Amino acid sequence: MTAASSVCAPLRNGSWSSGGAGAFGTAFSDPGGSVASLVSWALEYVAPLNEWLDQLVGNEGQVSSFAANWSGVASDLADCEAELVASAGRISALEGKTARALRKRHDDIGLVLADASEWSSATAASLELASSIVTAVHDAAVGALSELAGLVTSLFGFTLNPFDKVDQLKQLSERALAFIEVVGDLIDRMFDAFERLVALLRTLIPLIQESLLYLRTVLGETLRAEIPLIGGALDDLLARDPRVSELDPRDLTQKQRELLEELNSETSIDNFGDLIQSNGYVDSLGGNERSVIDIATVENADGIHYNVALPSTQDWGQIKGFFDPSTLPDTLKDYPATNDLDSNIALMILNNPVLATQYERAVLQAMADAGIPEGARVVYTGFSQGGIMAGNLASSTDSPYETIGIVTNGSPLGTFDIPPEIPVVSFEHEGDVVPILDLQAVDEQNVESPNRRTVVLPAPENGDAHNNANYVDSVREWEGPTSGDHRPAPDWFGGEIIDRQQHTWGE
Amino acid sequence: MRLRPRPIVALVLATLALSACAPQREPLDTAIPAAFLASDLGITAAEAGTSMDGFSLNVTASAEFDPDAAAPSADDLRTMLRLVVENTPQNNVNTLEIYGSVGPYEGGNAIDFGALGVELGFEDDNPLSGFSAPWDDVVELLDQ
Repeated sequence: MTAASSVCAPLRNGSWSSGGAGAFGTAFSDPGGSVASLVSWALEYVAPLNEWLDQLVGNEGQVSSFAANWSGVASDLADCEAELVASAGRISALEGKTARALRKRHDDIGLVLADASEWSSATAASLELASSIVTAVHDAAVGALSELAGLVTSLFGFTLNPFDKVDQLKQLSERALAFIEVVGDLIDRMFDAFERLVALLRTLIPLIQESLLYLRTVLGETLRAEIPLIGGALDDLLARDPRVSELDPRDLTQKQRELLEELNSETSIDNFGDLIQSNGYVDSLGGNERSVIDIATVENADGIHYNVALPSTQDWGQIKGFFDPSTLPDTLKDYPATNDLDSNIALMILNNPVLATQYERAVLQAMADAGIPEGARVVYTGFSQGGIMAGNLASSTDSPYETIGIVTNGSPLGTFDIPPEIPVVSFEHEGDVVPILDLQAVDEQNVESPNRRTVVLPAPENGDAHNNANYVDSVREWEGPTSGDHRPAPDWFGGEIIDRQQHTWGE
Repeated sequence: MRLRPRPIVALVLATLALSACAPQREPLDTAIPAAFLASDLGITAAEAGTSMDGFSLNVTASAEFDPDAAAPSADDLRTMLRLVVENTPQNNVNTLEIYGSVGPYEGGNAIDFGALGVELGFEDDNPLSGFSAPWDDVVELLDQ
């Protein structure tokens, strides 16, 4: 089951609504009809019902139109899938490297389209059900008002006895109260159900964002001349080497300087949590103003090795607007950090052993500047794109260094051809969509290489599964207390820190 | 082969349309420092910026306080939080952080904004000197 399928099942089956639209029906008369007129003095007794009715009429139309929009998206996606199948048929007879690459792209797009089609149609179905619920509650309010109107007519007919009015008014008040309680309860239940629906729909947001990123990058490679996004990735591969220098604290904000002091005060690497935390530190030290890597010289019983922490994506470039429309004016601005969307795409899609990305070339330059000798033993660690870079460097056949291990969190590593003798530990939060972009199952990866271990951690309570700070907490929880009964860290990355440097560059 | 990714195009256009409708506000990296300096909090220099943690957007503001002025209080922190929220155009901020120092930051003159945050009812789980809290919690505090 894909991540989308697990969200789509409850959306489609309506479990969020606790019984479907039928559960919101009532035995009031005149469902779907119009409200009989009430005498003006009686209206004040039923004011809540009338107000709810007005509000429900508006919402019903709104929800229906949203459902129709999503149905349209699902239909368009189905058309795209049909086109894809037809197009795949046309190239099936072709041979050669280009044809094989095109077939691979077809497969990639097909998988994402299938997912997108599933979540869009499930969203449409859930909104249609929501519309039905609004209609049912609307009908209940109409029914209640109609019955009250009938009651007013029958109770307040002509009478000569003024004391009869008091008794009749009491009866009307009791009935109005009962109706308001019933309809009020229905509306409470409707909003409870809608809150559950909204929570479900929210879980789709990162999936949709990732689908967009994936589709646009894959389509970009196929339609290189037409989609500007891929142009950024090509530019990245062809750009000149960035100028690398040691990080100068005078260039940093107060927070970054405090972080740097904290990082450089550490005397040892004792566990996975320490490595994952350093991934967050390099991100915070760089932001979108610069790229920063942290290089720790570590000594243990096996001798000296170097732990290199690599930064994650800090500038989402042309897809920033999907996170927040208010950032769209910022969309075309390319910030100095090279750990951006362009290099992400170049690393994942345009992987080319000859044309290394600016990011990769700068990392190797920084490692050389830090005095790491050729042939030295190196551990790479990174979050998200930093982990992708770690996988990229470890799978490189012409690296000047000996990779002795990789630790990543929130990174898709399944497509990298990492030598099986290199230990790889990948942490993945349940619900984090980024590590599963490689479309490989955790078990499949672990079986492929005995040195490869993927640790799936429970989703964080605040829901931000793709977040390094949450990964630090989860990994520390998984490891247990730092003293006493805890999981021992592997020997290959731990030890005493004898030197620590941070290097930086920008484009 | 030509694919027509119409749903994507529709989403892009919808997002652009939303952006076009939204009033363009001054970016926070200039608006927040300007608001800090215009306040009567004794701030002599300030900066603000954003960073990403995965998909989460964090806003950080820092301020240098006049060494001759009174030390900032929890009420001053509340005022700074309000100024940050009022001058942040983004709608999807995850975390808000505030740092400060008496005069230019030199390592030992940081103001313990984490402790001031505790006085406002927040937890202080930031290992650094600054105040750090979820954006929504800050907005909730300011709405009270």
